[in-house]
Amino acid sequence: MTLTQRLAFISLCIAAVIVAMQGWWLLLVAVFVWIGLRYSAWPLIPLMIMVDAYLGGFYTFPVLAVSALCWYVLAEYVRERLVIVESDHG
Amino acid sequence: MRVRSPRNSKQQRVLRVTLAAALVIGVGMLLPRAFSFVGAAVMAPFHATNQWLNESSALVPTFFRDRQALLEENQRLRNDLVIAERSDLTQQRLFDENQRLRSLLGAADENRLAAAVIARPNQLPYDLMQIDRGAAQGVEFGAPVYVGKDVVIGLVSHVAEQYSFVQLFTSPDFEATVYVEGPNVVAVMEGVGGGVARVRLPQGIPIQVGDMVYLPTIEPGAFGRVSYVENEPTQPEQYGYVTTHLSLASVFYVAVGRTAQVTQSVDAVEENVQEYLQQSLVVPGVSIDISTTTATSTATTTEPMVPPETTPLAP
Repeated sequence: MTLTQRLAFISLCIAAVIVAMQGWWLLLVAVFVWIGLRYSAWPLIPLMIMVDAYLGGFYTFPVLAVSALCWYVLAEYVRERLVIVESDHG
Repeated sequence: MRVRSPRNSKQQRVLRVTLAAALVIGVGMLLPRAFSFVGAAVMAPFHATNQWLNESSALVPTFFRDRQALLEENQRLRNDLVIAERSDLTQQRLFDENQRLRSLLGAADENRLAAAVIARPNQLPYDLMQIDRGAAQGVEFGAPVYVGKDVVIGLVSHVAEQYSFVQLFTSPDFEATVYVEGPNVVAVMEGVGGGVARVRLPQGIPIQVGDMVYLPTIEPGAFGRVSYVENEPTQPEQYGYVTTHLSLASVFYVAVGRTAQVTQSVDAVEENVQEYLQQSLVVPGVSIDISTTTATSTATTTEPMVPPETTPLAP
């Protein structure tokens, strides 16, 4: 991962937190998809845990953290298939 | 030598991350207060950014905020507009209905009682009209029944507790003294049925189509106009057939007056005839406005007469 890609990844993670705090859910989904398929979704898990902790989500059910965890598992599964398809035609 | 495949390694990494995250989430759900404290500390920079976006008067957050506020206001105003349009339609319908009822009742005359028509002559075996007001509401036997302000169509002939029957002037063999405006004569009108009455006059009296027919025994008592004249020169009499201005089938509401409005006094009848005569030359719509230009000037400005909007006077 180059420095530019690293900076873009960090910016997207920060944007995901801000978007989640603003409640712009559609934009949050788009950021999740972009991060999960282009880079890796695992940083979203601690970030969403922190957002849930900040918003008091652990008093009921941490929706954002569980969603990030599920998306991480799914994205890793999908990303693997996408990489195989690319390698077959590459 | 044992070799680990990359796929197995990746699966194990995913499994480890998942288990670790689930563990942290589980602990967080067990200790929500501690997690909130940690979250508040860690998220302080984001909290400041969030506050900046929500409350700052800088250009970027203001742009986002105003856009969002305008979108919400736009949606709210659209909803209000739809509600207002619907309520406006309801108000207009109620207003029209109110105006129609007031005109039927005679708005200034509180001695009338509005009644709905239950049955008309085509629904009854006799030439009667049934209305939904009776003795319980104050309907009196012999009271005149109006359509509109002064068009009287009949008299109450039977009063039940909750309904009444109206004998129409056009009922067969129903006779009434009428005043025919035009030839200015008093004659006897007799009903012939079907919403038509007949005035019998001697030959030589210039009765014409359109002449107004009044019932001077009832105040106010306009009835209708002569709509057809049957004049055989060889016969000693001529007939004028009189109808009201509207069909009985289109009458849904009537106003019931008081018996005091019906008089049998000859003097009162003559007085009513004189009143009709005195008002027969008044043409509605003609007015002359006079205005003085200055207080010291004797000149006056007179605007031209407005041409009459009604039909010419009967000869």
